[in-house]
Amino acid sequence: MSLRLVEVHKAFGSKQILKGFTLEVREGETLALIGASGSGKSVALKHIIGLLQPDAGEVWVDGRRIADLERSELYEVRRNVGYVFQFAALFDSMTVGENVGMGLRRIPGMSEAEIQERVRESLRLVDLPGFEDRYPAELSGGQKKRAGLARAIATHPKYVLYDEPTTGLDPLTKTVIDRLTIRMRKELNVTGVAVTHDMDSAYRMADRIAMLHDGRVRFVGTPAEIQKTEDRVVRGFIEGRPELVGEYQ
Amino acid sequence: MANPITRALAALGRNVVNAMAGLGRFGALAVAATRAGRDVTTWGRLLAVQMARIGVESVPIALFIATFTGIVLALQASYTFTGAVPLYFVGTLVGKTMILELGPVLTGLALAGRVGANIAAELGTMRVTEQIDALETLAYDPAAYLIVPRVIAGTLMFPVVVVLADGVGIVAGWITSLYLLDMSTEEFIRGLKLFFAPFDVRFSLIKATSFGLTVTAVGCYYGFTTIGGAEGVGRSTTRAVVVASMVILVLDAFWAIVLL
Ligand SMILES: Nc1ncnc2c1ncn2[C@@H]1O[C@H](COP(=O)(O)OP(=O)(O)OP(=O)(O)O)[C@@H](O)[C@H]1O
Ligand SMILES: [Mg+2]
Repeated sequence: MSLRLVEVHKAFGSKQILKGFTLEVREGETLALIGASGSGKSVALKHIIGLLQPDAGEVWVDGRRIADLERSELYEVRRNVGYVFQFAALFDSMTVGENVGMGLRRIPGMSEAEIQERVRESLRLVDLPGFEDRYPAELSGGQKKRAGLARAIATHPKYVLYDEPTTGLDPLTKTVIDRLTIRMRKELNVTGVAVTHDMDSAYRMADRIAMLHDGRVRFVGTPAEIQKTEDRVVRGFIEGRPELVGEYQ
Repeated sequence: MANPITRALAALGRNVVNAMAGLGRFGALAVAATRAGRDVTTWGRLLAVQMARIGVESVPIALFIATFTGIVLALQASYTFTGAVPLYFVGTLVGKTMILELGPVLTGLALAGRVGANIAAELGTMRVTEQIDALETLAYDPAAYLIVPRVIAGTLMFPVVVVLADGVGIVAGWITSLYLLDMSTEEFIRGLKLFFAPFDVRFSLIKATSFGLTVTAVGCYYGFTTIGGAEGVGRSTTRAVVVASMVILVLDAFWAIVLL
């Protein structure tokens, strides 16, 4: 099973953000979604989990069309999808441990001891061991980000959607998180979509890279393919050369 | 569009459209909250916390207001009567006014500030920092998790707080009569009983219940529909207080027309 967006259109007011966005993420792969700031990467990601509804077009998760689902069915689908928010979105009235445990408490039949164990394991994976009793306000930006990641992966979801999981982290932590993404795929067979600005990260962890430009997927291919592409817009973006991308001149 | 009349009409039209859209959003949220009411396992365990925050923690401010209202009512009654009316009518006036009007309305207005603003600011912050979206992604219904416990807690606890306020206001009026008006306890009680009807208390409770529903529902609505950062949260908070206060006054007149 996989994730599929077909000809998705989305506008906010008169601002058309997605203009026929089509992308398929294959089972078991990690796909990096790149694109300029404000191009609509977060918007695209939010469509997958039903936080935003398309004006036109379809979104399929696990062979089910999101628009057809009853609320309870949608929540069933969401239990299989972890979402890492760009700005962490931790519940600030709860401790980090309670944050990470939130999704676990929705799983029927999980005991308190199992929940605590899973919380500990998740925090260890993101390199935040022993942070259970801290409050989000006591964490640095990067620590918040990792706590958000721990919350998303705690339920061992089949899919993980990462919205810039490594932006703003130091190079070492960045590598830790990239490796975690790779491990999620290899050991837990997680299908992932990772929004990122960081090409090194994308090359390191992604099986394929898709570039969002002007509301559509401009390019999709393996890291090797993207490095060889002749497309000026794509080259301009990955090499950081605005002169190649017309409208940035 | 240069014509001022055309412009005024366009502005009016925009306002009407906005108001209708707001009503539509409120309706949609009300439907979501009603549906979420069935999700008892989610909101049930959050109810006690909200009852404490909305109800118990509001008691001091409500009693503070009621105390001074009771004192002033007694003094103003005796000033107004000035010998023409028997002094024991002070008890009547304090009791009736406290229970029928000032107990519920002043408490309602004070809690529109305390509770309504608190809810709008908290939920508004959760909205703009994507915490409400995060609840969704973790398979929680935000209406069941955030709105239902607050609205139920407010609807249940406002009457309790108002009854306490009614009582304390009357006691304050009684003590004032004893020490500042040279009345006896018997006189005060006699006046208090004179036109008292059990319906008065029910009337007070009906008002309080409707105010509790109003303050929490309006707070939740403005919190949930907040857009745009800290400024947006500020805007929502202000609107929640203003709108809840206005609705309370309209409801106050409504109940008087319908029930009295
Ligand atoms: N809820 C919303 N209401 C109105 N406009 C929105 C909303 N969400 C996003 N937008 C607009 O959609 C556009 C794309 O936003 P999005 O957050 O998807 O960008 P992005 O590609 O993720 O950028 P970045 O890399 O900076 O995170 C922006 O212009 C933004 O202002
Ligand atoms: Mg983004």
